[in-house]
Amino acid sequence: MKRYELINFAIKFSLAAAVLLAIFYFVFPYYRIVLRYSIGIFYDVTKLQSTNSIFLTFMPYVSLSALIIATPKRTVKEKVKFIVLVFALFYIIDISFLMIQILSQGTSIQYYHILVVQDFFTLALPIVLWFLLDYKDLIVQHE
Amino acid sequence: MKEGFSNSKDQIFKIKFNLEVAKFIFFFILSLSIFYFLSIRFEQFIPFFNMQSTTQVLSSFLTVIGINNTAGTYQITFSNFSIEIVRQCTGVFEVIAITSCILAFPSPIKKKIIGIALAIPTIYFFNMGRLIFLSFLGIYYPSMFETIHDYLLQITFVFLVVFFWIFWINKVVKNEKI
Repeated sequence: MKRYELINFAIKFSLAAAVLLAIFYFVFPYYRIVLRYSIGIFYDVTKLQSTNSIFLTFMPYVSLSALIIATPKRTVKEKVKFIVLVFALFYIIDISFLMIQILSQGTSIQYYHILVVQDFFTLALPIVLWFLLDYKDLIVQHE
Repeated sequence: MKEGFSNSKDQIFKIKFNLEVAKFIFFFILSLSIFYFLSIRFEQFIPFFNMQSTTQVLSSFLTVIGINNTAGTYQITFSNFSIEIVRQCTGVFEVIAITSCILAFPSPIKKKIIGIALAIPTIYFFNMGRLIFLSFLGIYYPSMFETIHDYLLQITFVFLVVFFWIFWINKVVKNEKI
């Protein structure tokens, strides 16, 4: 297996992350509105969303998308396909978490929910999903 | 990618049937969960990566580079603002993540130990650099503090973990001399 060009990967990641951050910065309020309508049965969702943006998967999605874009040896079609697929997954995760967040208000579950979302989903989820895309380079050809 | 991989239709959906991937993800999540539980339960006993140690070391670094500050147990106060060191600031979860990546990746135990031994100081000093940078921002550019803290540096940590992981695979795992 050809070795990863780490510098190339780092540059591509930085550029992709910067562009995606700029895009998401403007798109994110609309995404919140979509989420709000998606779970409109919960009246107080607006208040919950506005208190802390970290509950949503905005940041992990940006970092994962940047990783996918920076990944060498993948066609643009594959990358787009994976990004769209992951976006759908993150949308479902966001809705699920918001519902748990609403239902667990005032309970100890809320505290653990925050920890899990903050820690696992901002760091671990992008790694796992990126690995799914790139495992062939990392594992199979390594052997 | 050639070798028929990128040409195969629906290959994204076939990934789930790959045993290597399943094994990696299983051990990654298992390791992550165990270390995560231990890090919460025994937070104060984790050397260097606990909140109190992070606060004290950060305060010392800031003093050395000429930024006046007063350190409390978990808080550092500057002339115009203060920062509170919480668990997420210590870098412990990043250490857990990279350790789990290394442990779950199929490689000899010796190479895993080398990887973890290199990862821990790398994360520690990167995190200290991050905290110093944030303190600097808070003092001189307070309006940018929230944005940089919430957005940019989270992405940077994901990148650091993945970058270090690939680096370890390339330089240590694939190095037959080790």
